Amino acid sequence: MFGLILLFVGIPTAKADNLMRIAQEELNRTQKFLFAQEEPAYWVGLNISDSFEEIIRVEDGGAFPIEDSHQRYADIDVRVGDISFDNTHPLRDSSLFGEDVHFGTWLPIEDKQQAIQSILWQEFDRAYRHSLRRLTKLRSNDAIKVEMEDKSADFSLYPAQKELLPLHDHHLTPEQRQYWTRELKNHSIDLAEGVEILSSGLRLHVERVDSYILNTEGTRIRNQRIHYRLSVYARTKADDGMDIQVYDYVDAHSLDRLPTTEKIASMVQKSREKLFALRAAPVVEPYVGPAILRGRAAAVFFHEILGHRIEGHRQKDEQEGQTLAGKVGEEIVPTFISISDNPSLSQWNDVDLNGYYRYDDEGSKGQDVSIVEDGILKAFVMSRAPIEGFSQSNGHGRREPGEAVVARQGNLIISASTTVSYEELRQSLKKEIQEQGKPFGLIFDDISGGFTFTGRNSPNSYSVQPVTVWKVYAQERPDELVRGVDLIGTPLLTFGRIMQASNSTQVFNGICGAESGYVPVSAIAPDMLIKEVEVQRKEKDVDLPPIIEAPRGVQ
Amino acid sequence: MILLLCSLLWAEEKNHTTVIQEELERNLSELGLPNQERPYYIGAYTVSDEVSYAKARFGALMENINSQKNRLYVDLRVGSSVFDNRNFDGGFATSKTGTLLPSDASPALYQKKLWLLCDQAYKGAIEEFSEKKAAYSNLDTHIGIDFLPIKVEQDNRSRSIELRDLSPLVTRLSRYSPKGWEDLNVSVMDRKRDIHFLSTEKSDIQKTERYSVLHLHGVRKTADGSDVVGHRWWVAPSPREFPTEEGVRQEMTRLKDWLLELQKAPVEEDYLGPVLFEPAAAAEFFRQLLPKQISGSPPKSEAPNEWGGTSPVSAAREGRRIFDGNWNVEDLPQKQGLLGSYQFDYEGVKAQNMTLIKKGVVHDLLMSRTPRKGKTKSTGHGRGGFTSRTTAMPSNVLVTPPKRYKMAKIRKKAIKMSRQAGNKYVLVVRVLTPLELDDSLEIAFSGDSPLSGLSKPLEMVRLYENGTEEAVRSGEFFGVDRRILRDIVMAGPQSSWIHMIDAPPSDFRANNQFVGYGTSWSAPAILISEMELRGSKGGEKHRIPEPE
Repeated sequence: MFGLILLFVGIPTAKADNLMRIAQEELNRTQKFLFAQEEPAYWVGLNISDSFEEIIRVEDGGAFPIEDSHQRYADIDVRVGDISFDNTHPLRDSSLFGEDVHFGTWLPIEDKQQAIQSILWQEFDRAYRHSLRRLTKLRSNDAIKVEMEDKSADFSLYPAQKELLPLHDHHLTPEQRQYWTRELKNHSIDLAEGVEILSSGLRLHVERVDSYILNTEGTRIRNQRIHYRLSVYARTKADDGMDIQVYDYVDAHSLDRLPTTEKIASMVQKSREKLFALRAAPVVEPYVGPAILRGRAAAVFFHEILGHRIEGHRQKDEQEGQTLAGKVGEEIVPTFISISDNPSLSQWNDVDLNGYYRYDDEGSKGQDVSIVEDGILKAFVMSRAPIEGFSQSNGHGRREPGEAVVARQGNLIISASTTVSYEELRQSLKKEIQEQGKPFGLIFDDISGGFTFTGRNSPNSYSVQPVTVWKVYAQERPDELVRGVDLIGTPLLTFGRIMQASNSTQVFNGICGAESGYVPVSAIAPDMLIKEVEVQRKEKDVDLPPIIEAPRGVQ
Repeated sequence: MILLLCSLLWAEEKNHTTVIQEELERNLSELGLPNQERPYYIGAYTVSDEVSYAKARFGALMENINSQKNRLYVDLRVGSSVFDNRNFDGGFATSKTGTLLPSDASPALYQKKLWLLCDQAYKGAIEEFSEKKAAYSNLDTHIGIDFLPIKVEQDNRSRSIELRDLSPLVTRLSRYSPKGWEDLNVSVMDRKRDIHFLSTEKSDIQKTERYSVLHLHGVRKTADGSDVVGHRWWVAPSPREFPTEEGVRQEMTRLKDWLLELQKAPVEEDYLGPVLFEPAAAAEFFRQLLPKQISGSPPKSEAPNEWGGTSPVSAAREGRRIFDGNWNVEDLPQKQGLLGSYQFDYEGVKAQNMTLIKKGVVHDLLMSRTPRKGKTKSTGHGRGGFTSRTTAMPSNVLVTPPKRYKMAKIRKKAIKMSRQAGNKYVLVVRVLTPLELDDSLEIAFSGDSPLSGLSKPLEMVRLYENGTEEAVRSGEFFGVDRRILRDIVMAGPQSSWIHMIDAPPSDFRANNQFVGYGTSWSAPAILISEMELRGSKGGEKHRIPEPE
C-alpha cells in the first residue's frame, strides 16, 4: 500500500568539502579491494544525507521548545555478480528474513576523517558479505524456479555525473526564530478560539538536506534540498462522534516565499470556517454517480490511480498487479489527456513544487518523462533497474535515507488538450446528473491524502480521502457541504470514465510513502469531471464529545 | 468578544496550581453519565523532562540532543477504592491519559487540556470498569480493595538545576585511534524531571529528580571472527560525581587492555561448577534476582477464559525462605545521597525504610497503593506509571550476609569446590552485564532449553589453583532462577553503593541504559556452589582490510 500524506534566503558557503573528500577516498579504497575479490563487486554506490531540521510549534498562544536536529546518514549499495544478474535480483518465494539488498549507517555529524572512514569501512564490508551470501542463494533460487516473465537485466549503466552544487547555510537566525515564534503564537490564539476547537496549532518546519552521491562509475554529485512548510491544524468533534480535522499548509523553497501575516491570518480564518462548517454538515450516504474532482483532488487521484502504476519496477515485480505492464502503445485514458513527470520543474504557476530535484538518488538527472501522450501509454518513470522495452533510467530512482531505491514519481503533471471553464464543467456535471437520473452529484473540493494497492495479493484499488465534499443538484439549488466519505475505486475502470477537464490547474504538494520510504512529491491537475465515482463511509470515531462543559477559562 | 476577554483574564489571574486543583475538583464533581460509575479519585502530574544527550564514535560527535518536554498526565478512577476500574487486564481503554504542552502554556491552556484529558480518562475508566465488573460477575476472588488509603501530604522539594552540555566531553573521551576497534563509542546523558503531583485527595508534592549516565562501549574482533565487547559506565546523581576526565580515560585504557586480552582468550564452552561473583558483579546479580521477590504489587488480574487460563500470580511471598542462612535485605529510600533516595513516591506517599528479608526469609514487601491480600498500606515505593499502573520498585537496596569472609579465603574455598567438581579452575565473574545493556533476546518455546535467567558475564576469568587468572570469553549462564540464592555458600566484602537506572519489575523490559528511575544497590561478593555456563565462538571476518 502506498500512501500520500499532507504534511530565508541563505548565502552559499565556500567551506572546504571535507565530507566529499573523505567519502571519495573510502569509496576508492573499497573499490580497490571489492573489485579484486574472487567474486568481485561490479558497482558500489554511496549516498550521504546531511540533514538539518528546525521545528517551531505553537498551540493556543504557547510555544513548544524549538526542535533542532542534525543527523547524517550513509546509504550503501554493493552489487555483486553482473549487470544482467546480481545480488539485487528478486529472491522468489523467499523467507521474510532473507539477506538485505541495501545497507546504511549513521555517520558523525563532524567531518572527522578517521571516524567517518572507520564507520564507512565496516558498512561497506558488511554490505559486501551480505551481498555475496544473497548472490549464492539467488543462483540456486534461479535454477529451481521458472523463468522470470520480464527477462531484463538487474541494473543499467549510466554515464558518470559530476556536479558540485553550492551549499547554502540555511538556518533560522535567533531573530528569525523569535519572529516566527511570535508570529505563529499570535495566530494560534485566533485559531483556538471557541470551545468546539479541541486542539489546534501552527507549525513551521525547516528542512535542509545536503546530499552527496558517489559511485564507482565516477559520479560525484553534491546537491541541496531546502524545504519550508508552514501549516495550520485544527480538530473538533461532531455530535455524532466523528473527529473532524482540517490542515492547511504552504510549501516553499525559501523563507521569503512563506505566507505573509495577512495570508496566515486568512489560512487560520478559512480553516476555522471550514472546521465549523464541516462540524455542522450532514454525513453523505454511500453513493455512485458523477462527480467533479477539483484540481488538488484530481492531482491526488491521478497520483494514486495512475502514478504508482507507472513506476518502472512494478512492471517487473511478479508480486505486483502489473496493471499497465503490457499496455504500452495502448489508449489507457481519454485521448484529450496527457501525463508527464518532470522533477526538474521547481515551480508551477508561482507555487513551489515539492517534487523538484536535479538528480535522483542514483545520480541520474531528473528528466521530463512523457508517460501518456493523447491518452496513449508511452513510458514509465524509471530508476536504473531496467524493464523490458525500457533499458535506461530517466532519473526517477528515489528513496528516503535508509531504504533501497525504486522508481518513484516527482512532479506528476496531468494536462488536457481540450478544456472548458470551471463553470462549464459544473454545467456538464448537472447535465450528467440528469441523464443518469441521480438525485445529486458530488464535487470533491479538497483532500487530505490517499492510498492505493498495487500488489497481486489484494484487490487493485485506491482510496482518496476528501476533506470537503459538496452535494450538487441538477436543479437550481445551492450546493450543500457534506462529510464522512472516502472516494474509492479500481484504476482501469476509472481511467475510462474521465469526461472533461477545466482550463485551470492546481498543485498538490505532499509526501508519498512506498517501499523506498517517504519522498516529497507534487501532482498537478486540472479540475475533472468523472462520469461515475464511488464513495464509501469514512472510518469514524465513536467516542462522545466532551461530557461536561468546557471550563470557564476556556469559554 | 467581551465575554472571552473576561474569561481569559480570569484564568490569567490564577496560577497553574490553583487552576489544576480547581479543574480536578470540577471534573470530580461534574463528570458522570447516567447509570455509570462516577469518578472518586483524579490525580494530575505536570512533568518537565529535560535531557542533554550526546554520543561520539571514534572521536567524532554522532548526536547531540538537548530537549525539554512538558507533559500533563491524568490518572482517574471510577467506582470506589473498594472496587474500581484498576488492577485488571482487559480491553484497550485507558484511564491514564497524557499530552504534551507548550513550555509557556497559560493557565487557561492547562485548564483546557485537563478538561479534555479527564474526559478521555473518564471514558477509558468506564470501559475498564465494565470489563472488570463483567469478569467478576461470576467470580468471588476480588480481595475487597483496589486502592490503598494514604496519609495525604504536601511537600515541595523542587530544585533549580541547569543541565550541562556534555558533548565536548564525549568527543574528547572517544578520541582514540580507531585502529583495531570494531566500535568505540562514548555516550552521556544528563537528565532531570520536575514533577508536580496534585490530586483530589489534596496531595500536593513537588520534586526534582536528576540522574546522569556516562557509558563507554568498545568492540574488537578475535581471530576466529567473534566480537568481544566491553563496557564501562557510571550512573550518578549528577555529572559532578563522574570520575575525572583523566580517571575515565584510564578506565578506557583498562577497557582496551581487557579487550586485547579477551581477543586471545579461550572460549568458555561448557562449565559446571562453583562461580565466584566479585562485589560489583554480586550487586548486579542480586538486582536481577531479588526485585520480584520483594516487590509486593501483584500482576493485574485477568478474566476467566475458555482455555482454562487463570490470573497470573505474584512471584513475591511473605514467609518464603530465599537464602540458606541469616541474610538480610533492606530497602532504604530515606538514606541520603544515593540515586534511589527520595522522600515521597509518585503517589504522594512518604517513603519508608524497610527490612524486606530477615534471616533469609521474606519478612515484608515493597508496596505502592496497588493492593495485595494482607497488605493495607503503601510503603511509599510506587514509582513511574504516568501512563501505566504504578507498582512498587526498589530504591536503595542493602544486601547483608550473615558472615563475611576475606576474598582470599573465598577464592581458596572456590578452588577447592571446583576441584571436587572435577574442574581445573573456578570461574570468577568480575562484572555482570547490567540488565539495561544486555542485548540477548530470549524467547522461550515449549520444549526449548531453559532460559539463562541472568545476563551475560561481561568480565570473567578462570582462577587456577596456583592463583593465576586467565580471561575467558563468550560463556553464558543457563537456567538460573531465585533458587540459586540458596546455593550461596560464602559471602565476602561488601560492594560500595552502585547506582543504576531501573524500572519496576515486570515480565517485559525494554533495554535502555538512559531511561528509567534511579536505584542504588550494595551487596557482598558471593560464592555459589554450582552454576552452568556455555559459550560458542566464530563470526564473519572482514573482507576489506581496515583503513590505515
